[in-house]
Amino acid sequence: MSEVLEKVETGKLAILSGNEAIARGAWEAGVKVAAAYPGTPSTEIVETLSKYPEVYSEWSVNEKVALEVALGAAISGSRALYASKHVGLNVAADPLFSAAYTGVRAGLVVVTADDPGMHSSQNEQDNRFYALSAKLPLLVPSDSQEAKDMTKLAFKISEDYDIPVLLRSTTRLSHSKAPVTLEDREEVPHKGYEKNPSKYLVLPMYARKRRVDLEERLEALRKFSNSTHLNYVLEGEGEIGVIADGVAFQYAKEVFQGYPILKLGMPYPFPDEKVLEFLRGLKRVYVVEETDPFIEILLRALLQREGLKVEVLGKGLIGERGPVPKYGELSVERLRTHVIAYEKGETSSESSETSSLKHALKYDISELPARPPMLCPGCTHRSVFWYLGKYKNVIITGDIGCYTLGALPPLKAMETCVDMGASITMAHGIEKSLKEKGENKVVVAVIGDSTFYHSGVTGLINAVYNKSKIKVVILDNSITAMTGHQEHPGTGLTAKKEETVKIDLEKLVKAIGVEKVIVVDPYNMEETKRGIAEMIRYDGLAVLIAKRPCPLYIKFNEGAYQVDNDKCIACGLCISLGCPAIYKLEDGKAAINELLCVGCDMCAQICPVDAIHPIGRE
Amino acid sequence: MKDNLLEEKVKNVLVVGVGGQGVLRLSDIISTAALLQGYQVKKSEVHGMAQRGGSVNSHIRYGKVVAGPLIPKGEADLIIALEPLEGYRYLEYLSPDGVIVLDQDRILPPAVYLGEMRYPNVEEALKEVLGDRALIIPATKIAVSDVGNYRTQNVVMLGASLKYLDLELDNVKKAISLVFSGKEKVIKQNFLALELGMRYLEKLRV
Ligand SMILES: Cc1ncc(C[n+]2csc(CCOP(=O)(O)OP(=O)(O)O)c2C)c(N)n1
Repeated sequence: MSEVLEKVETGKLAILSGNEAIARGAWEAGVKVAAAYPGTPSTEIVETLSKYPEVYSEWSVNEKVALEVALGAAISGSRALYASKHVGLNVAADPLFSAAYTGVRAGLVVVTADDPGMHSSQNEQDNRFYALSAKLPLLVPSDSQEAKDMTKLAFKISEDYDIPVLLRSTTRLSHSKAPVTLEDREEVPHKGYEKNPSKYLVLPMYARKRRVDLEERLEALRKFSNSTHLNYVLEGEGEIGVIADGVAFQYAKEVFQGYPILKLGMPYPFPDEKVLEFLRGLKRVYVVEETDPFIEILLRALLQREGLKVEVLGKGLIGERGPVPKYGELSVERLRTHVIAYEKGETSSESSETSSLKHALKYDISELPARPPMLCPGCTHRSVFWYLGKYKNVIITGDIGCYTLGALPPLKAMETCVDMGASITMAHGIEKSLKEKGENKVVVAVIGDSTFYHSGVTGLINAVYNKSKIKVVILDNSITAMTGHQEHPGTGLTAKKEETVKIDLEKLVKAIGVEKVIVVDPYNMEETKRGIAEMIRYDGLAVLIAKRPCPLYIKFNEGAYQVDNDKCIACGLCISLGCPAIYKLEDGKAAINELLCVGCDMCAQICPVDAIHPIGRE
Repeated sequence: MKDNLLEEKVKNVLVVGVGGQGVLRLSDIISTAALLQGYQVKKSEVHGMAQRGGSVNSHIRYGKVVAGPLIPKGEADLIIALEPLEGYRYLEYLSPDGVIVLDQDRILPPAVYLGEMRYPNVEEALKEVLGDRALIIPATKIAVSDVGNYRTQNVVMLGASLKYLDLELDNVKKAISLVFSGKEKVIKQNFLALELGMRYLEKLRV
């Protein structure tokens, strides 16, 4: 016991999340440059790296930029890391595919954190397929220790085979914590830059040669995949085996105890020989993996190639049903109930089995009042949505950030949200479309400041250029709030908290060619109301900037307010702001939770009978 | 398929509550204490969207060998609920002889404070089905009036749950010192909170 304590105190052992372990692994591997755009569940990787003085770390404006920064660093001799959430890699897909051709010189590790079950994402894509289509080696750790070890090894593989390495995490790995043995940083020498256009310039004539070379690198990687300890067998008995990767391997270990299990730490290139060796003597193989049937498809292709008849049970393709759920996050009991249901031949996959405890309960758990995420007390976005929602004849397109919550009751002032930046571009498309029908509807796009720098600004340039009349609201809370307050070009600070140029949003928008730009303080209700009215009335493209820092970020607290119960007429106006600090009493009158209220004053300004005041002031 | 019992029994502890209550901090303390006791530890939590006033949970598993980071339903030995409704929400995780420890103070969910739904009497419902296996603790009250810092509510709850954790007091205290390292005043307050939680449980069981 004291031995453990000593290790903890001397920094040789720590409980790390998967993300912290990836960062630690990169640091130990001597990484020099890290670039990312935040996104749950990947954010803490570069956030952790930014605290190491030896690592240049940045929040890039978007993922494409981040990957190009990391690639530039790698081809000029520094070990580099890129990290994003799964959808972020879509944004960076263009450089990703070409980077397989150019190769890297110094190690480049591309971390993708996927989100099975969509804990905080708009979709559930499986980025292991990027390894297949972009032709990259793929590593998939299954716990924190492996996350650290594999990240280190990934840099070596990247250099040995001159190719970026894709490392796949998932929410459960990224955000689970487990003890990790820590080691020192290895200072790898800087390899420097060497001019080599035929490698780094993908003109078709060069790219065709690199394509052939890539095939050779992949073949060498296939051999590596067949020999590496990352792919190993957990011995067991019987004619039924299991193949699994990532966190799913941990679940498989619990559900299929005693069975032989092939654990794939490096599923791509597919270790065909090792898999064939594992299959010897097996009649049936369960493939346990999260999100899509990636290993399953590769396995079925291999069996077809070899003319082997082994029953493969996994998720199945479209039209097929297997024992492993097709979507949603896996867990031990979900896997177990699905496998049991499948083996019993039950038609419904989601088990209807309920515990006796559940039957005895007085209230149905699924009918309990939920706790949906809400805009925080004092959120600067609230007033804009409150006023926008009053316009019944406008279309409001939205975007991704805390402010997407403006779509939910009681505010309900947003109708679309597809991907970052899509508010402006889709508004433009809607306007042009309705014009074809002879309708001149006002279309308002609502976008956050970080999202605007990420991919909104290009859409706005497009709208100005293509004679759009859309209205754009930029919610400038001076930080990337959604993912936990990361810096961006409008904050005046870098990821390493150094001072830097602060982009002037108003000037930027004007420079693009927007003639009507209105700036309001969203805590000033009258100003916000007038600003929105002016924007909507304007005959032409108009931009409204609602500017005030996120109260959580600057720890804004002016003291709580209270409702004068005698004056309150129970009109419900303040309740309709949807502030978590305001609640309804039995008689319909309002009251304020003073532990939650930060004194933004919005409710006081709209109260028709002046019943709301700061505590202690009338 | 074989049954799911690992060779060596794994301790499964689920901590639940509302965003901002210190669920994650509490699970940090428990997992650190388990590590100091020489166990393998895995802990899982929810970040991001779910934290904006939402329901928060953290799974902690420790023992000789731990596989996955998630507790299967029906296998939690202990649920520590920093808020009663949240305790009820995760009841399916409780094992047939598991114990649930709840703070009695309610935090109203939006549908309740907007006047659309009632807050069900979950405390009574829990007592009805679980009897002595549901323990209700005035942890927020103790944190506010006896410790003088409402943020120590989670550690009062830890004190009240300590008996069921199979962790040595010494290791728990060391874990608190490690988790709050450098903040002497906070550590002291949390030691007091731990002590008061333990004492309350003693009283309850007499
Ligand atoms: C391509 C992509 N990258 C990252 C994310 C994760 N993400 C969603 S919104 C957002 C930023 C939101 O910041 P901002 O626009 O300033 O709005 P706020 O949350 O501050 O209101 C991020 C990083 C994503 N959904 N998609």
